[in-house]
Amino acid sequence: MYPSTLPAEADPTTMNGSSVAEPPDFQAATAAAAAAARASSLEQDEWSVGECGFLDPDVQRTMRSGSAAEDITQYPMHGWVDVTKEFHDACAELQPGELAQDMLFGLFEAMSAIEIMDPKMDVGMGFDKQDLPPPSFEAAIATGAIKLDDLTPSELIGIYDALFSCLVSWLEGNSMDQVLFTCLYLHAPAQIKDKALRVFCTAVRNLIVVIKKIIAVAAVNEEEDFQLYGNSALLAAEKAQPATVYSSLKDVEDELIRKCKKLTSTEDWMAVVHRLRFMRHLFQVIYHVEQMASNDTVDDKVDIYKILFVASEMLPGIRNTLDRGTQPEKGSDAPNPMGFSPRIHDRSQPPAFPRSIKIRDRPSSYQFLEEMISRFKYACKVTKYKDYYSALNFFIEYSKKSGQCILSRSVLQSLFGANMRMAHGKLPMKQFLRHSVQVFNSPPVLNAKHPVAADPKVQQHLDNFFRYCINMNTFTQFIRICGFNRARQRDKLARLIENFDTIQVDAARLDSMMNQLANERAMEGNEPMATALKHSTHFSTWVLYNCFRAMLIFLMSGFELELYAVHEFLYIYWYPYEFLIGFLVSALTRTENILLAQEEYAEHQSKTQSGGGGAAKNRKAAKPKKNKKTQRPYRAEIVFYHALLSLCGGMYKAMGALTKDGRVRLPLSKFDNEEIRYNRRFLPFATLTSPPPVSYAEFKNVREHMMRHSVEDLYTYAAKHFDQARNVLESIQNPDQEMLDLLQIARTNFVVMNVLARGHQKEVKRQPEFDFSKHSYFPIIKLK
Amino acid sequence: MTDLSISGQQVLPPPACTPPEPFRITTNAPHQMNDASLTPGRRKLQKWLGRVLRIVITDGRVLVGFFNCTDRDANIVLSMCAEYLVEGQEPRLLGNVMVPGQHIVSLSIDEPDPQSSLLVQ
Repeated sequence: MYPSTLPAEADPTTMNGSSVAEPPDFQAATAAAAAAARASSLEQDEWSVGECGFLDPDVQRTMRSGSAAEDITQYPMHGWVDVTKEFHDACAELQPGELAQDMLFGLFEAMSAIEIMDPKMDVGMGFDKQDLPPPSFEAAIATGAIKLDDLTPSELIGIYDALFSCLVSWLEGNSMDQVLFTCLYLHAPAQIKDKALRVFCTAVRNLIVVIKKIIAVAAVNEEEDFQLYGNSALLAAEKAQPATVYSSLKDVEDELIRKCKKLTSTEDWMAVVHRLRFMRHLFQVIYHVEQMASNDTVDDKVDIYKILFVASEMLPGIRNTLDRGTQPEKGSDAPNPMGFSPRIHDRSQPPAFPRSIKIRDRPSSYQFLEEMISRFKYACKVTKYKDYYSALNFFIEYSKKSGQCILSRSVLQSLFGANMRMAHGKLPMKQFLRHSVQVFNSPPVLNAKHPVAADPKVQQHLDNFFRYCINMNTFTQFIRICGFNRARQRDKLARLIENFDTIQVDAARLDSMMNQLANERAMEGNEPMATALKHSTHFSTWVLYNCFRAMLIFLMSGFELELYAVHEFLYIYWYPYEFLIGFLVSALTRTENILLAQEEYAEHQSKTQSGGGGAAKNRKAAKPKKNKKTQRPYRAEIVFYHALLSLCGGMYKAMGALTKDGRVRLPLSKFDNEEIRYNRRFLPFATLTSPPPVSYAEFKNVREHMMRHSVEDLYTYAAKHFDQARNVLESIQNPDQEMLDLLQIARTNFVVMNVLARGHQKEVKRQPEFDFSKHSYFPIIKLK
Repeated sequence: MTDLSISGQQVLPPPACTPPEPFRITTNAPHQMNDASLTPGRRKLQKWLGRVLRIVITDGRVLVGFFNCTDRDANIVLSMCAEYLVEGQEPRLLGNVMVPGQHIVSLSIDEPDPQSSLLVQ
């Protein structure tokens, strides 16, 4: 080892000022060592350039790259010299936490590194030199590892079930290569002699192609949801012919059933038939959806819902016969003993690719398929919603319930797109929106029966407005955003909200134009025309209402995604309590009132005209739904918003009280800047003119005002809000699960607030737990 | 050993008791290259940084890449790393990798003269 003193000043090599202070050993070295010293000072010359002032890392990077030596496979240039012990000894001199790092090494390099021997990242792990390379299809046939003919029922069931597991694992976001194409049979189904297996494998391959198309067209996926691109060479090898799959599956089924008639024990073969039949129905549905989405001329007589129903009826039988198939071997990665080569594509993936592939087990795969089919059934209901308002509501609901499955989300988008075409015979989006506004608040100008409907000037304005809506893409985009996974919706909504501003301006302009025209007509003495044009704020209300909804979803999604710190809850709940929900309620109330006024007007008209039949027709045109319902079409929604309003109020006051009580952990003041956080949280709202953004200063004033009350009072106010919420929710007839959950939250928080108001645990200043498990927007406050 | 490393910019007086210093980094940046206060081991690491390192790991694989970073436990970060299942055969290029110290079997450096390793006893 080196002497501990370093006579650096005596070292001649330091004279040139560019090399390391050499250890004393070098001076006393032999000729060989002298050569080494020369070599080491040579390589130090590289640094002298750096010392001339080129310290910029980019310059250094350029300087170092560009040489032929960049190709790592060319090394060693000289020869490997073992430094194991030296290296470890040198490392041992470092302090805990100390790093020796290259000057160009930074956080990026550190973060992008793959950890060797980590099973999640390192694909080469566990490789044994004695291992044969993973067998390919041809190799497996040559070694007799896979059978191509005369498969027993149990072997077939095993392969089928394993393939379904792979399919599910693929839909859950794994790479197609790492799950589906580990099945060697899928590589060349045409070479399989056993018909039952060949047809099934062909069906799987076609299913892959069709699903890929659906997902690509719907385009609501993100990188982490779904691996759209796999080894397409494998798929390209045999041309997909999805149209023939249905009939060939049917053929095999029939053949097998005939075969069964000659056998005494048919149960195993029937289990095979059930799987083939399930595949046939599943394929039929998915293929049909794809055709609907990409084709205009599709025969829509196929009733998807009915097929889905049949498919789901097959599943219990299949799940009961899981044990009849060959089962995966313990400790093996292969989902089935025969036909799978789990590591075949490992080394063809890019290095930073996720490695850890866990193929779902069979029972949970069928569970997934069963749930997926019921999600499809649910998605079919979208055809009932023929206007924007109800369709959007459906999409929001669907996202909450089925947002996790990419295929279900894509299928909904396809059905919706196709539905709009089918429902109204190729209805363009512009027409759809026009129709939607009419259903929403029935602006008189949109009514074909009204005298102005034919006025070209009015029609021009309307046309311009709707064309603008389409060009801005805002409304269509809102529906599509609801198709994305929950986490991605938020940042997309932020951008969407900004878009609403320009449309609002346009809608307001249209409204005022209509009013102006109405006044002009009134002056001309054209009374019925003036009444028809008499406009309050139909179009801007419609636009604003949709904008408010996007804002509310954006704000509340932060709770679901756990983005907010507890000390931020206060202003997040404050904004909807003070503004947003109130806006929504007033938009809906206004709309209702407009509808009512029109109804009265229509009745009035019919009385004056005293033509009973005409009047009934007239009313029907204004409101397509049943008369009783139209009285208060938005009642249920308004009531629900009232409940939300009270809940937000309760949470806001509760957070105020808890903060004042010292029960909320606040950030250390030197790291804290609430204004920045506040502005950041409401950033997407800042560009809107309506509603105008609320500045941090305004918020602070309001909060100060609230905080003047005593802690006990604040707790009591919060309790009152929760009590109100409870009352509202209890008044709802036929509440759905969400309402029941909110009711429980309101009840529990009411009790907790009362307990705190009475001074319970006064001396314990612990932050309560906020339990969002019941509802993603509102927590149950729990005292520990 | 109380002889603690000192990064180039913060030259501390040889302390009897070193104050806690959380971010200690030895680099091969030019301003540090002649730092006489570095311990021999640190200087050796400094010299090796940026050069090509060959690591044999416990499962027999050989990793060859540019030596980027290490710490007390000899966890090593290599850049532009090539992974050889069998040396001499076609490697797979991995990019940046981190090799945990516990999986390292042997380390070698690409050096012009194999004799130089004999100099250090």
